[in-house]
Amino acid sequence: MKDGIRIENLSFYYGERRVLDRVAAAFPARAVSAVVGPSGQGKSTLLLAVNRIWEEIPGARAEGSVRIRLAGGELEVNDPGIDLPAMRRRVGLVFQAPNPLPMSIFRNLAFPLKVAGIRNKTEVASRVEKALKQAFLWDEVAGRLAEDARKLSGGQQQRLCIARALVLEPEILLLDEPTSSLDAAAAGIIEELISGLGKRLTLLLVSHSEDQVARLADKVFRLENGRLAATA
Amino acid sequence: MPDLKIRDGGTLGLTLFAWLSAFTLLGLVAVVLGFLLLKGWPALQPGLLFGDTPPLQALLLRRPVFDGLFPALVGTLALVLLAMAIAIPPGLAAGIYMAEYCRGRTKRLLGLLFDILAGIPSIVIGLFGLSLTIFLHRHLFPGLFPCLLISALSLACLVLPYLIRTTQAALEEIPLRIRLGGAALGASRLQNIFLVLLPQALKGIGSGILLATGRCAEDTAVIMLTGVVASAGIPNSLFGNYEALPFYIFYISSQYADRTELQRGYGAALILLLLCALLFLASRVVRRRLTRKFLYHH
Repeated sequence: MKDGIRIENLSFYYGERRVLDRVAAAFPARAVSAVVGPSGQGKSTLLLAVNRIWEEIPGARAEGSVRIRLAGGELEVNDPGIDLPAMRRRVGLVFQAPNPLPMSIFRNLAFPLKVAGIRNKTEVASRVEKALKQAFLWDEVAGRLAEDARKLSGGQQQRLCIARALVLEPEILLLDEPTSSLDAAAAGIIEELISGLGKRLTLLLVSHSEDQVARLADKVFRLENGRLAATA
Repeated sequence: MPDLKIRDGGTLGLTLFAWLSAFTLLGLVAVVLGFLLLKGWPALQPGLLFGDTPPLQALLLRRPVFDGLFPALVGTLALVLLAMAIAIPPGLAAGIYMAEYCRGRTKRLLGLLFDILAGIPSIVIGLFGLSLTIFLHRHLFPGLFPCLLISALSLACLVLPYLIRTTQAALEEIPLRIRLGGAALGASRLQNIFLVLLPQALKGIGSGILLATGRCAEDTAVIMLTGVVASAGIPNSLFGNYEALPFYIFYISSQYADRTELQRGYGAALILLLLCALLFLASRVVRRRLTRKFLYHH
């Protein structure tokens, strides 16, 4: 099995505070990898390092290497010369708390397509529909696409965020505790979705639930005291 | 339990103080409006605006108005629109720069400079406008005198710091999760600013524009040094003199000859308030339409 994400000697800082200390790990391609561990150990931070979104956070700093395998070859994420927006379109990230953009449901999904330069209305509409169906949300929102996305329930918002990450058909998907704020039924729907996606994407999941990880992950890592280690 | 009692007493006091402040403020507004209405209502007739000229002829600019406020109303409107057209682009651009690009010592220094600029009395800005006109007249444009354009430029300088600071504040208060959301979906810095952050900040920016519009409409000190006159007719050039409502109110209230003239001054104040209210309403409509267009339409 080839590595989808390979991290070497990665340290991460918020100001002077070190959150990750020379972390190393290899996450397999086209499989579900999970990172578990106590709260506050830097699990979410690890995801932020994979698509370099930490650059948008004032005071955040990373050192070390993060290599990702995409169609066409490997890419060093921390290379200062890479096209960051283009890379992020291929490495989707779903945050722990749902963060629908303050716009309509349709626009939330059309937004990544628009910034990627996809303007054909028919194509946009069909990809939006496809992504919403993948996230098991289409039936619930088909008739209200012009409504403010923030009016959806928590579970619907989280599925919207997953659909939004999928609409660009990424090759890597990073999921930060995607079911932490959901009830059992909504969590079940999202777990089903993750299982399906793990067969064709490199999927890195952060979770505090050992049971969930056991159900979903092909490979499990434990992050504790700033160090990352593969479990059995 | 003693702690709770103290806290409850404090909360009650604070609540009472807040309500009292709110009622005082509303009461003051009501008193000012009531006073103006009482004093100015009898003057509110077509003659106040158009004098002896038939209103339709005046509105179609076919006949000049000599004894009415119509030229001052048009002058004020032209001045406000011109000043805002000059101030909004650099104000928004500088606000975006401060919020999204400027960091560290440069940000602190520029912030301090904008705050100082905001604190400069308007009469000083007026003097600056006048000095600039004299300089340009002597060295570059002999035909240039205090005029509508100079007044608008001076007013733009006056309101620029409001626009910069409100734009900056509106952008900076957008939650990090929204900023990261746009960037994580592949938006470049510029796309994130224009497609996510600015539409989200429209409400705050709109409030800044409203404040600045009001400031432009009511200021007298700047314009009396830079081009306003008592009688100029409808402004027909950027380089000509013009009339304005706040200046009319100023000179009529300081030089009125009889009770009727003073009443006309109060009438002019009511018309100025109405004009401001209409401009505020227009900005709200524009903001709502922009929000719908940018955030909700398919």
